[in-house]
Amino acid sequence: MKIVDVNVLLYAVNEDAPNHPAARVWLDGALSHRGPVSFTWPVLLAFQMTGATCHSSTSLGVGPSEYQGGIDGGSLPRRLVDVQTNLALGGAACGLGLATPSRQGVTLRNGMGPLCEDGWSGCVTMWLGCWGGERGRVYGSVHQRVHKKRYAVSPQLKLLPPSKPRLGLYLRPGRNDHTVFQQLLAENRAVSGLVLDARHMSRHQHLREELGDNGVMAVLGHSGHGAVYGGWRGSRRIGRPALGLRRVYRSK
Amino acid sequence: MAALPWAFVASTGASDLRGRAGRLVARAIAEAVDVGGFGAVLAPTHLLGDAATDLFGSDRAVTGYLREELDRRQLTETSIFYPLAVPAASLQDPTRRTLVIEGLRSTDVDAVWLRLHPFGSTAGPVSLRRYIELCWELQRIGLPLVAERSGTIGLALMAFGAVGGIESGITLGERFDAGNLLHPPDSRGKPFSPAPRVYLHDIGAFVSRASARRLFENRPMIASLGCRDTSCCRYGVTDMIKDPRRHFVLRRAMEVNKVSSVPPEHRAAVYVSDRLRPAALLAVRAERILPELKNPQRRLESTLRTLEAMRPGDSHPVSEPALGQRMRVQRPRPQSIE
Repeated sequence: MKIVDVNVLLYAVNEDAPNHPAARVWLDGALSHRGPVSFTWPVLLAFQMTGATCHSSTSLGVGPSEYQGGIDGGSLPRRLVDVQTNLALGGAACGLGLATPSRQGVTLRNGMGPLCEDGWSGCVTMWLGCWGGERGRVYGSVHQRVHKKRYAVSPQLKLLPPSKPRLGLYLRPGRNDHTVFQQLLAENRAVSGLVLDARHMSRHQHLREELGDNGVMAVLGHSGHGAVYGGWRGSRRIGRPALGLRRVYRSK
Repeated sequence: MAALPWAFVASTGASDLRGRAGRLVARAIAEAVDVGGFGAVLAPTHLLGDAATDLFGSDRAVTGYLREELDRRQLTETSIFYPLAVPAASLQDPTRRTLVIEGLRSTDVDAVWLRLHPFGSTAGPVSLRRYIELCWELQRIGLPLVAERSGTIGLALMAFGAVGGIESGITLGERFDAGNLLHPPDSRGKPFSPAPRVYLHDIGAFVSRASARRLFENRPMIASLGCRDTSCCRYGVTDMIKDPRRHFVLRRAMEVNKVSSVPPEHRAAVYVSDRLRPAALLAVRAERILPELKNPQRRLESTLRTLEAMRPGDSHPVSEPALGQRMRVQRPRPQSIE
């Protein structure tokens, strides 16, 4: 994964910067090749704070000389971009599946060829506002420069679907594992559900009672083998019902 | 097992389960669900030698009886998960696969738990690829899929949208092999379950406590493979070895959360780049210190190559998240005869 420095972004959008050609070529290449490119939150924040947007510096009325040399600690933003717009656009990007927000930053899916009709500037717009993506339901408009044919997006406002629920994790505690889970439940650490063996009903009773209070699903499992309804019956024939046959546990 | 309330039907034949015996089983299980306050129940199903067998129909009939019994007890929100235990090879046949899909579409269940024989953390590249492709086909059922006993490889299944959830034992039970059910238990074996193993989460492998101690005598391995999460193992590798079950549960939950946090379209690519590639590199280093990690390292390399070849950037169907909620399946209406 490539993690981009903020100076690269600033040089890439500032056509007057001496390093602009090199930065632009590198960024274009990184976006066109396979493999994710990531933008950390500090980088995105710094990029936004300096007022650089997809529309280039002149469209915002900010002189290019203000960040010609990148961020040197002395250049403070004179004019902030419209944060609300960027939030909405970022949410839209996440809804389209183009960007992946996380605690560390935003990872952009690429390797799909050019994302925008006019190069990469529309993508930068969306990267800037990905803060909104993790909040689930976001009203946003998609930047009109995004390739319409490929992603069938429109510039109008639209309701994005809420973020999908988490995937399921079910664990099957053994006879003596209930103590581990009781401790974890006390710490508010939970999984989707526990498959509790019917043979250990009384032993897991307290655990079972606590599961409901903590929003963890208790699933009744039948077989000690955890495989089929019954288990070995002394026959190699598959499919014979063998529920609770004593022979399974009777030693010869 | 003989003490279970529904053990009385041990010698019941498949055809009998469609009738009174099936209803008795369903009643006994529903009562256990009611008394125990369970939120879901695994349907009573058999290991099918062939998807076309009559037993599949009997199992679905008993599952229907179970739904009726639960509803009769006002347990309408209790979910039923259908364990589909079948040799994976039998589902490679499109006709049989269609039979299973159509059968489960018309059964009132809320998730399908896959027990495909044989599959697990030791699965080879062909099995893995077939499993994923089979799951994409089975998504026509319209229900969440859960991979039972899939082990660490279950994370890859979720990342590729094959399943919406995984099931696992605690440091054990990472493979479903029906062979254990067809042979008598070894009478020489100890009647106790094996000791928990230490989960090396960065490479997705398990080792015994003694091996873990040997591995972590090498100080660079502590930095590379030791648990650095103080909320999980406060004293690092010491706690990893001392309480491997807690470490496993927390790390597995974190791994699932990490896969979940990525939008479905990206999961495969991010999983391969962020999880598998670093793990394969780490496993090479770990195997030099602990030779018994050679097999996990080879499997990791094989899995990486297989999944990379499956073009994770391509679009593929994604299973619904398996969170246990009732699905309200729309059953096909029978055509009226006029």
